[in-house]
Amino acid sequence: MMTTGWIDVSANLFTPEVVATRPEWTKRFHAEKNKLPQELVTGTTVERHLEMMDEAGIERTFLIAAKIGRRGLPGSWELDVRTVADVVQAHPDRFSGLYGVNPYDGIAGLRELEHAVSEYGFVGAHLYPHWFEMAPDHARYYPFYGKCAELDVPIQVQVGYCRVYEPQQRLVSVGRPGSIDVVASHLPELKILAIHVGWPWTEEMISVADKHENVYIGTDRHRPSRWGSSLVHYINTWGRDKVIFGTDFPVVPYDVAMRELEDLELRDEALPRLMGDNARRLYSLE
Amino acid sequence: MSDLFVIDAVCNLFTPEIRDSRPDWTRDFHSQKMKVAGDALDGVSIDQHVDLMLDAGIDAALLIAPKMGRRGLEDSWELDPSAVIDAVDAYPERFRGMAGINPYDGVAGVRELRTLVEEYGFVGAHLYPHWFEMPPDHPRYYPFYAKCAELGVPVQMQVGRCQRYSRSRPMPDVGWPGAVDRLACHIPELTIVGIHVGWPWTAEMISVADKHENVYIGTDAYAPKYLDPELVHFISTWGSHKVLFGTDWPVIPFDRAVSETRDLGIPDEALGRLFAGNTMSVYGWTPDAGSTPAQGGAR
Repeated sequence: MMTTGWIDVSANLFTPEVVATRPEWTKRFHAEKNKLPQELVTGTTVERHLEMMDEAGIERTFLIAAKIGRRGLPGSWELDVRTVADVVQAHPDRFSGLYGVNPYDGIAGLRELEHAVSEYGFVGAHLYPHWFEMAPDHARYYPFYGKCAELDVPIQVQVGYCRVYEPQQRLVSVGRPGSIDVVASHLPELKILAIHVGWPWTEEMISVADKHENVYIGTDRHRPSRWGSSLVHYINTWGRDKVIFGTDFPVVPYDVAMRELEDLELRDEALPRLMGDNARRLYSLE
Repeated sequence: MSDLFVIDAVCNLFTPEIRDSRPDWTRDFHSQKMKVAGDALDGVSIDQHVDLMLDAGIDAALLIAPKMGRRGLEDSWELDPSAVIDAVDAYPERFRGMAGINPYDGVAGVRELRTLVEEYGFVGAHLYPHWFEMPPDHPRYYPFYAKCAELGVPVQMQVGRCQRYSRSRPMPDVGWPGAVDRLACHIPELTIVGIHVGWPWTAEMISVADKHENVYIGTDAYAPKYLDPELVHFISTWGSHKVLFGTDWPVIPFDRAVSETRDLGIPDEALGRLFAGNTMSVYGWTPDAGSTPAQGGAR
């Protein structure tokens, strides 16, 4: 039993079975763009995932039942909620589930979200705005935002630029932190974890997180050496309650994350907040 | 003709107490602009309200608990839903409630809407977009729309221009039917009644109602004799399932609304749908006032 209390709030279930269902761009993206080792490109078993968490000292990881793009378009993909629920239920002390939002699912999607939270114990929702090419403040998302606020669960929303994943579905970068400011102003009850840091608008993201008490920043998808001095300063000082560690596993491997985290030499009072306290408070975990 | 069952799909409560609670612009607006006269101007008790309806041949009504404007701003006003609940309790065979939406109420407002529907039998929601100066497709409304769709109840919202109510707080027109089209595309499960006709975009409103199976039009707030001939044709023919009779009382007196509507030359079958059949099917409510009305609207 791990006792570090460290949490990775944003990771992918990446078993060989899941990888086999993912679209073709996944491999190119992870092998060529992210330069991941072979094991992380072809997939790892749940047991191996747990081993890596153990080695890194990560006690709990949130797994995303991701919804990636509008169904039917090239490169779109989604992970079945049940698949994540099964892994979470097999390892309730190590994993928690996040419900992926597809705005086109409409009211049926709201019901699925509610079901995932109430029946499977999912701790929040997750949204890739760029995969739907609508900024976070687009009206289509608001039914889901309202439902999250009603259920009192946070939603993770990717901010910052996005890449070209599938060349046949080139996605516009829509994740400007300013549109998170709009959502937070409209729905102050909603807890928003802006994941993927927000680069190249990191300053803007910090300003929005500072402005709204319910807006937080997730460090996932960027290895610690690339977080930028401004964000590291924010983590250490005036934003030490507002930033939450994540990997976007397998995008940032755990060993890389831990090695580079150590190099940052975060302050003693900042490190436990980043690595667990803030996530526990935001997600109401024990 | 006299055997037609009639439901007013858009009706206000206007007791003397409510009149006194309303902001100052109300009286000038009703007396000077809308030329409301007599009892209606001073407010009537719920019993008198029912008598006026029955005298005019109106059997039942949907009563709005409106929310008008952001709280704290000059001339904003809202009716406590308990007033509507009391009226429905007094005449359950004739009244159902409509829950007003204030988008600034956020999640608490969404919960109130749910409670009014689930515990007090309200059959829908009501929205004045112009009072919040945001068009019907503004994201701030969407959590409320989604809750309506989840609960399976319609939302009625004013379309068309709005008047200048308060002299000191003019509000721009935001009720373009095109915004209802966008909303209907975004949430096809939602049933929408575009109330107040939609003028000066009546044709646009007809096009949106025809396009979306869940979009309807309410005839309230306009004296029927002035209704656009294109809308009367729509009611009489290809849109006979899509339009709901309403008064926005006290804006249009009950007797005037009924008699002028009867004078429009609408075929009987279509008139029965307009007067009651469409409202019963859209709101899923069959009033048991008097003898049980048939689905077509005949009493």
